[in-house]
Amino acid sequence: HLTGSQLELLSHGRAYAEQLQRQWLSLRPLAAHLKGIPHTSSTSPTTQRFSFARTTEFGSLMQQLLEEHPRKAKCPTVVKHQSSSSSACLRGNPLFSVTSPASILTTDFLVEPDRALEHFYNLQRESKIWWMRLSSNPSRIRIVPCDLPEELDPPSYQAIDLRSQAGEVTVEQLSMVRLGGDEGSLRLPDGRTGESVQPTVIRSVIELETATCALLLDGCDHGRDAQSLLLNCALAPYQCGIACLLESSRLLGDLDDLCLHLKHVLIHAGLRLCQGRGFFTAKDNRHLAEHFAESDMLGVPYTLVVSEQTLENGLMKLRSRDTRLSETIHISDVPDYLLNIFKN
Amino acid sequence: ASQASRERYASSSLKIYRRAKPLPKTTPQKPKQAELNEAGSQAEYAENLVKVQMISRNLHAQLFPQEPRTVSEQQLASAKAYQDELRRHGVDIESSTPQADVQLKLPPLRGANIEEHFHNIAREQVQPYEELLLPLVQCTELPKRPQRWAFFAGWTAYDPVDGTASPVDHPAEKGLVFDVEVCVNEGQAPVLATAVSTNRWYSWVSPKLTKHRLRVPSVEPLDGATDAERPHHTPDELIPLGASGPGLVVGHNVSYDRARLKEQYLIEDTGTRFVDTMSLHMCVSGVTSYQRAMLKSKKEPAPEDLAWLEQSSLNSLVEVHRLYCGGEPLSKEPRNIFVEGTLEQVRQSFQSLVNYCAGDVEATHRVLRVLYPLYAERFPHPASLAGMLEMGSAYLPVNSNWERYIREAQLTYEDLSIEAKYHLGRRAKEACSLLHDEKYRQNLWLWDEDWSVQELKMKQPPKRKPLARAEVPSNVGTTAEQRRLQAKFQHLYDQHCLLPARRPLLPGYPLWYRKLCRKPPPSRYKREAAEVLEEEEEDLWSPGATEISTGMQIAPKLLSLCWEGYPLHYERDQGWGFLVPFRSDSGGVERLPLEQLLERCPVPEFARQGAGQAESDLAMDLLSKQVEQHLGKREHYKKLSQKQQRLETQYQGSGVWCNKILEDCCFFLKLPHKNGPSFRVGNPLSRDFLDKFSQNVLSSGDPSCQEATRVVEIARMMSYWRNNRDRIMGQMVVWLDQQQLPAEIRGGKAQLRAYGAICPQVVACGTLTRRAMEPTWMTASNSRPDRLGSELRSMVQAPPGFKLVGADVDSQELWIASVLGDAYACGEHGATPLGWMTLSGSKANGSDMHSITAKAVGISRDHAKVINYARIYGAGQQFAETLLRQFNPTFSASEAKAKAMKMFAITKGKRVYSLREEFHDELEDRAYSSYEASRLAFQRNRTLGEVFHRPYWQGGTESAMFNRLEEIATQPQPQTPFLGGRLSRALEADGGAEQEQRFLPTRINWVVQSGAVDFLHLMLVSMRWLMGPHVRFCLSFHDELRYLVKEDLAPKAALAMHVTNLMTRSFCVSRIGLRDLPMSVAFFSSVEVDTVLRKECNMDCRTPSNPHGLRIGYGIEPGQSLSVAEAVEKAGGSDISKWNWIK
Repeated sequence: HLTGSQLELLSHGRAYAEQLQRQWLSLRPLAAHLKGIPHTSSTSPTTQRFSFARTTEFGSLMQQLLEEHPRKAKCPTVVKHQSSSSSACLRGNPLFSVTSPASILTTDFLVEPDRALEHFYNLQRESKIWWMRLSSNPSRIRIVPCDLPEELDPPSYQAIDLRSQAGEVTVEQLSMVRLGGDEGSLRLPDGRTGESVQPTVIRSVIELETATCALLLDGCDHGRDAQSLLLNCALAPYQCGIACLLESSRLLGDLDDLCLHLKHVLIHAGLRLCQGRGFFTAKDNRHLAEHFAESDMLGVPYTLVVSEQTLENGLMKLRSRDTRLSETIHISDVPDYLLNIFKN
Repeated sequence: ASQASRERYASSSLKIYRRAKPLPKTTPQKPKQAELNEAGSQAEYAENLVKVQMISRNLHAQLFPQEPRTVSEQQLASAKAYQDELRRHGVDIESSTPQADVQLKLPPLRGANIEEHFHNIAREQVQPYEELLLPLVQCTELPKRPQRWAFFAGWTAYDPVDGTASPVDHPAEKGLVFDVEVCVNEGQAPVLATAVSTNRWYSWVSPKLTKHRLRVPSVEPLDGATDAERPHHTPDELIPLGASGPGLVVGHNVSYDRARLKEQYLIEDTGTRFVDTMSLHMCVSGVTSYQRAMLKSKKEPAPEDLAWLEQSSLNSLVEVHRLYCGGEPLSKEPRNIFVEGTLEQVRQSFQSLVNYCAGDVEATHRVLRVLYPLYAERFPHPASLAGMLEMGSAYLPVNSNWERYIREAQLTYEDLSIEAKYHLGRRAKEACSLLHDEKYRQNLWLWDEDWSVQELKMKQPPKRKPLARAEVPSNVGTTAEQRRLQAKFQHLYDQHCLLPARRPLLPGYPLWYRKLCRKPPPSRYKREAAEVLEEEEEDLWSPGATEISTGMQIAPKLLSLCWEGYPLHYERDQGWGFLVPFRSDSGGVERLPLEQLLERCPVPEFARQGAGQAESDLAMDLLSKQVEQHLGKREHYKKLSQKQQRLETQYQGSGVWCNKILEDCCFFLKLPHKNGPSFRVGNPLSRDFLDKFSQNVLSSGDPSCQEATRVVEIARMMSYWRNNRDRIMGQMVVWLDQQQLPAEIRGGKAQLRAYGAICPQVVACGTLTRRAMEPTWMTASNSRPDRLGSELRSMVQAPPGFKLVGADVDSQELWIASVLGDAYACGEHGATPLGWMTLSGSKANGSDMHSITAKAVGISRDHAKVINYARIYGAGQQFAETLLRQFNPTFSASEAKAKAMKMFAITKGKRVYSLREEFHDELEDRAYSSYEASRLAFQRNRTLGEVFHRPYWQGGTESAMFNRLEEIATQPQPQTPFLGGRLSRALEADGGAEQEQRFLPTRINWVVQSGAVDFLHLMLVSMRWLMGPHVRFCLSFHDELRYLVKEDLAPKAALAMHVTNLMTRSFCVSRIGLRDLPMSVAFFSSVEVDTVLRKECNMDCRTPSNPHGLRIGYGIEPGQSLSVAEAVEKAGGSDISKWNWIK
């Protein structure tokens, strides 16, 4: 939903955001998940970016880590937490702004100080490839180095933005801060040597709504003549639709039943299905084509198409958004074949 | 100088040190002005007859002590003629800018003059090694091989009389013939070795083979991040040879053995040097690549080739032994166990394998006995051997960053391939929809793909018995409704058994797409799941065109690639090409989408866009190799068929006409291949092809397809790594233990880093011209932003407390060629146009050679530069034509020919004949063209050679040089101008006039390039003299030289480099009869003092795998680039004679 350059996520968008959040949670499964602490600081985003380690929030997060996950409290380790912020904390982008509130997904990497740079570069690459896999145009994701405020020196501080949309929209911020001196007294044992060190923190911040919008925009803007929304199969809020082609009204009841049955099967298998009745009935091929166009625009990757013939032999079509071709499959392939498709 | 503007030729390297000694800007009255301004500079300034600035007076007095500068009346008279000639070629001798004078106190020459000096210091340097080598050469009978070899870990010595075995730490003698064996399947570490001295035999066995535990348990690599899949070599698995004093090891391809010697990896040089019989063989009997192909071919040799075939051989020990020693051929059979076998098999055949190894040692010794005297006779100057020994001791220090580099390059490579694959997959998916209404028939790229579709058909149900009940998908739901529906459609599930046993892949999709997809794992059909699933395989499967890659034939089509605007097309017998329509009515055209083709390219219109910088750079990189391959082939002239001529008027691009017409409406033209028109382009997205041609020519025909640009870009980025990664990852890095590091590095922060080294596989004289060869490092590309992994060289990094010091010899070959011409024709530096342009021309005012040629012919300076070098390397007019067309794909053949002709006329000049004296009475004594000459000879019924002298070049800027080069090259025993080294016997062999002509370009090329090798050897000798044991030789490739030196001595080493340049050039000019040296070539334009081995010390080496550059990404600061004045300042003064280590 667009008002001026103000973007608001509606139900589909929110569903999409939810999927994105889920992906984030499953990335780096060994991380310690902590309760988020709402942002209270009022400092500017740039300062906040490098001074977070001095805040009480960070202190209490580390306290939580030591208390709740004592075995993970060593270098290197990963801590994840989520919070919401009433004001957008990432720097605004020239393309759009998102109506608040924003969900902030933060990952803190506590790493050995002497290998911090190396970790920092590895994380950059890891994050980049993660976004590339999610985006419908991987070439759009770039790493943009971020200028440091003058008072910070490069060996101890580093920052980059991962941006989408030709470098316009920041989807993730990575900042590295070396703890030491006034940056608090946190010490953790080095995983290799056991020696107690002051870790370097690499913080990744993702603002869920902004990132969602950026990915959605990527999906729209793909230069194809066909109007379809290219959403990543794993993130698409609706993975599959069901349609039936009704050539004579005589079998209406049976086809409806069949669609309903398929809906049960798919939902039971855990696939996300288009809402409402769950299936669409087309009068003829043209009507069906119109339906395809619509679900392409919604970004639904696959549609199961049953016809009268299906009632006889169980063969149906699996129509793909991307190829716009239909593959013939058998009712006994449902839902395993689809599950396989969505697994990766 | 900024990286971009720096050029490797002398004239651009002029640096004016106005700060120190301000000089007037008005050039015409420079000496007078200088006189007024500063008395001192007047005393030091000198110029010659053609106003080329000469070295400062103090330097001249030290380098040419017995040769005061005087000018005779006669010289003054000829100066006038030189100046006129220069003016005629567009040279303005007043246009040069003077350089600041340099004041240095050199150590006294070791001899009466510079020539004696070099002879003496080189003699001194090789002496300790010759003392070890000569006894081996003179040893007619080696000690007797022991009957039985001891199966002990480490070294064993054998008593020469009774063969008693006794373990030793390392061989007692310092002069050894040596050979190592490696069990290839077990990695690169040595398994066993044998050595023989004049006194006794030795064998070495790896503890791995004897299953002894290593003395020191292997420690975990310090930096923890080492890739577990790649071997981590430590010095303990290598062969110790002792670290005291000079030692000498002889072997065949000895650098392979050297890389397995423990002490070679220590940061301090142990003084051991290596004599490579393979290199000696190349010097004495090396062959051209053309000759090598002949040696390898099984065909019966032509009679004219017999002479040189007898004088040469391929490089393997077997062949070399056959050539010099004859007798029974060496057996290489046992070697197979090392190549294919396991350690256990080596253990089982231990005795015979050590005997085999010892056999190779003996063979190497026999070869040495015959070969070394030949070498010593043909290369009389001691600097040749000294240079070879130094070249064989190359050393590349690395640290943990090496592993990081490989990791990052590999990961980036994977990321990029995923990205490319994604785009191609997406394009493939989109292309599928062309199946609707057969729209593919109108697609210019995909019309000839196989669009056939398969259907899923059910078997006929059995008539009598009912179908077996299929298993219900477990627990579809719990509500009554859900169960009702399940029951209602159960009969459909039951029909599962009517599906074909082998399910077709993607029924409903076109065949070409199906080929790109993988069959899903059988779990897809759960009910067939009697087969056991392989979990892994299941995990790997994903839907869509997963098998696609840039290497596939479909890729260029999916990207809708065009060549010069025409759609690409693949023909099985011709490879890749493109379609050019010649008919506009589509009657009778069935498959080809002619209408769409005409719509896209109705009137061929060709943007006249030349190729850019990148292509010239590449051509420059490959030039010497290409010319070398080209030489020796007999040039063939292609005949233009009438049909082709007609086509050429229509089509002016670079496609290759191949007589192919499709559906009587289109020409099919092949894409140009780098190796010539007879080759097929197999993949337009491959490196060779992408590097060669600019993006302007190859582009996507679909404006909405940004993916194509990106995929081409990715393919370009990945190619370097794809082609080099095996060699790079296979580099044998030996990581040093803490106690093997110098005290400075040990302990402290450095502990967190690993330090190691690579001993590159340098063949000290690896080619006919005696240039060194090394598969990885000498061909290492300079770092380029679009080449993944091209930061390779900068990953050679000096350990803490050390610096890498080195320089590029500015336009070395150009100078050698031009100074030969100057000395020969005029006896004066810069007196020929080529000489003047080389010495005093400048890029800035367009007076250098490349600018002048470029202007005259109407091409870019970069292109002119490549072609200029090609010509000096000996390439002919036809080669220049090919280059021109390659740079400017839009030049027509005739245009390129005209330009090449013009260029040759103004540079090389005309080939003319002068009459022999006996014909002066009947004919006018003047220069005759070759046409006139052959006619006159024919009229007199005589051969050309009877009537005329050997032809010579006249009227071009480079005529003098070519005349001199040809004169040297046509002598019966050509010798290099500086060190008097002889040409290989393979090219010396007398085969009559025709043979002489045949190998002439190669010989000319040899004069310059082998001269450059002499130059390098002299520099190595001079550096060793000036720096003594304080520098360690790292690497030299082409005109580049690098040393590893302790940080505090780095400025002195930089100054020593400058002085080395001065003295080496002085020696060279003295050898060809000149007694002075121009200032512009006297010193390096700069010497780099750096911590890493990059080409220029301010390069940040950003590449896709090093996106942040060296400074930010690796924390490596730029190095320093020191001019001679800066080096003097930093080295603590200009009095070098005070350096107390100089003997």
